[in-house]
Amino acid sequence: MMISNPIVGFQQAYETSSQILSRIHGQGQKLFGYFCTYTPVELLVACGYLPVRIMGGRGKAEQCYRLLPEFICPFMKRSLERAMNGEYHFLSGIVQSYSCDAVCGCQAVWKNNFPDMSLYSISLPYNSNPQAREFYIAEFKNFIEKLGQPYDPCFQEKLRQTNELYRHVRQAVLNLFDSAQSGFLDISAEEKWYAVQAGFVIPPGQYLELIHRMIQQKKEIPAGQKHSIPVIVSGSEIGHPDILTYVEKTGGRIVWDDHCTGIRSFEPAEGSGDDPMEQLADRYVKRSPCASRSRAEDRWLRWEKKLHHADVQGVIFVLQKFCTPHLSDIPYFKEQLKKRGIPAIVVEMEESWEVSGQIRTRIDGFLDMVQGKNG
Amino acid sequence: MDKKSKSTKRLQAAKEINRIVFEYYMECSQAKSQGIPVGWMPPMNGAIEIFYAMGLQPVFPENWSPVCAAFGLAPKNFEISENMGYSIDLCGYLRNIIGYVHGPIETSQCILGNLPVPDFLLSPGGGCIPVMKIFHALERRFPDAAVFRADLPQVALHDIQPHHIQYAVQEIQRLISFLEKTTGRKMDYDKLEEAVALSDKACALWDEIMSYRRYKPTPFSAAEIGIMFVMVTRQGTQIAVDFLEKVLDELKDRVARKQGVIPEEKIRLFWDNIPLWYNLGLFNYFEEMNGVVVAETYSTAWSIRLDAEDPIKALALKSLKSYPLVSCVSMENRMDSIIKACKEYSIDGVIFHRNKSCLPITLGQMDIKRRLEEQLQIPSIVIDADHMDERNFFPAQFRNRADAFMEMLLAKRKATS
Repeated sequence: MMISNPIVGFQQAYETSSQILSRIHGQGQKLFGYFCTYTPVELLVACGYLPVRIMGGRGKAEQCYRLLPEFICPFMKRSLERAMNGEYHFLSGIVQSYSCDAVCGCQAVWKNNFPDMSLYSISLPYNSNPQAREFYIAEFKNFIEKLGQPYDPCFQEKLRQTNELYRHVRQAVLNLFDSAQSGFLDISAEEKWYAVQAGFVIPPGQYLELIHRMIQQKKEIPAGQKHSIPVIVSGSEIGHPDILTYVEKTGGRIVWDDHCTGIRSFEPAEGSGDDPMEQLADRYVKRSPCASRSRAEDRWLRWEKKLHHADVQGVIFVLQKFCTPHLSDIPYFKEQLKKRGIPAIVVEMEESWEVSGQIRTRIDGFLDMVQGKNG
Repeated sequence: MDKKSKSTKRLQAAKEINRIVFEYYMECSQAKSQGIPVGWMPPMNGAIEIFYAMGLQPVFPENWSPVCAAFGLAPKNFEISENMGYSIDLCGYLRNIIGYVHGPIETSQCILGNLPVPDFLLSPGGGCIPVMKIFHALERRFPDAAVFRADLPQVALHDIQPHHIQYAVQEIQRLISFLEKTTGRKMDYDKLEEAVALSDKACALWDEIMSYRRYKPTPFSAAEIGIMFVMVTRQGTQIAVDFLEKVLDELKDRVARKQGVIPEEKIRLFWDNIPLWYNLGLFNYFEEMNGVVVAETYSTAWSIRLDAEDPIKALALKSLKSYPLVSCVSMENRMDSIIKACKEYSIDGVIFHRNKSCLPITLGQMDIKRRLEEQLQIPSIVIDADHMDERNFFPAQFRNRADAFMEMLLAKRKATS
């Protein structure tokens, strides 16, 4: 069925992903799960799999407490909850790339409780020197070998084509965000969120088509909206867009984001190198850093550029409760922002992703304060 | 039961370990005045042998945290880091050491002195996230210190491939080059070989010491876990070997005399996860009910061997293996080693410390618990606490659970004897 409005298509794809993916699986397509956007999905596609990002979303966490402690992020709780409810039955395997201690440990829990699922790990280096790049390539080759795929000329050609496809996908999403941030595409934070989420479950070729159609529906942001307060939203995985909608409804305009359900995983669109594996490694070495794999200072370099260009007046950190990588970086970021006179607030979300009265009050107060401060 | 208490030690070696701890920290304090470069590093990797071979002073901020917990310095450190914006949900090691370096490092009246300011930092990529973030914060706190950005594959033991070893070897070589350039001291490879041989000897002694715990009654319990200090801070030195040989002699003597920890050992227990550093007396609680904690997870981190013929590769392998041995990185191995320990040490029950400060060891505990019950019919309990922060330990809750558990084990013992 052709859906004329791509935003509706994205939302439907996300909300009915289990059914869609079950159907795709029933048609003979092999599906492979991954948790983190550091996973080289290109390898999975080139090996014939459809990569599916395992997401927590919002909902209850009940059964998972049989296997997990309470003090782990909602993302991991909910992912396991969904798996225990049979929502990921169609996956042939799962790969994790040491996103953080929680992901690594949870993968081990999955391994113990879903014995029919093959589970793999890719160890990604933290450095970017020549030895680290060589290690990236060796680790990627090791992974595809485990999937039974030799690194032969036929595979290299497939990987070259897949790299090219993902270059187009990422560039298209970057264009979409750029148009929205420059005021040439009237799209809400919620719509952007659905647009990104859909990309984690739709085959990349179809996704690219939908993104292109969305960009074509250009419509300038109404003048009134441009007067709202420019803010950054940062964190890890945002499990539901209600919190973003609330920020916008109360006078905020999200001019840039730094979270892994936003633009972060799309930058840069491609890597360079002599062969497709080198290009792939280069892309992942250079990708926009996440708190779990980098120093706060390395992330701050990106922030400085954005703060300069986007006239940011406030920052809202939307964190998953118990998220060690992001919680650890907060003091540094708040200190840097304070030096620039930019106020910041931290809200921690639980698995319901409910924008509680307390969170609403805090965001209201924060945006009032920012507005008052800037006249 | 108190929130904080010290364990009762029975080994003569316990007195000697106090001296070794004191001398180590005195050595740290005096290093600067003696012109010895000071480097801070995480534990459980192959850098310590390199430091000792090059005559450098290794300092372990992670190991300082248990000292702070034992001497009651941790609450102040927590207060400082939490006021800086570090969440109370973060690992206690992280909050403690960040608080310490932002205050008490210059003013604390600790009997062991204070940690010397680092000349260089070995900042890890690999291991657990809190340790990485601790060192990122230390880089900011000590901007004059040279920084080595280390990297290490995070891979399960059964998955280690030649390219993982090659990368770890390259990192060891890169570290040596960095240290030579930063300190002006050249690596003496004969000394390195010697340090690796001493480390190997210490590990072999460690395994032998642990094996004596299989005897009934066991000659020592987890209350003596402090002897592990030499494995953390003195690997690669004769100090560790000499001390461990004395421990071994003492254990042989105790076993020959059938001298146990308590007059009547009825229940043998296994402790999973890091102990409560501010309350090692918890181990004695079980002793009051004729139970002894015979074995624990943490001590397996040193159960490795090093080939001194190829010291660089040996250190690379040590670095690759140590952390996965005790964490969720190598869950299958962790599970197998607990099952093996339960069989070898004739364990009656297992205590799982669900540790708010250590996710990598806590994750997977429920699966291990289930396997113990299914495969060995060994019952277990889960204790909610924290290895550093006493605010996350509730003595009454512990006592309720532990009393019921011990009563059940004693009844089971009575029924089968």
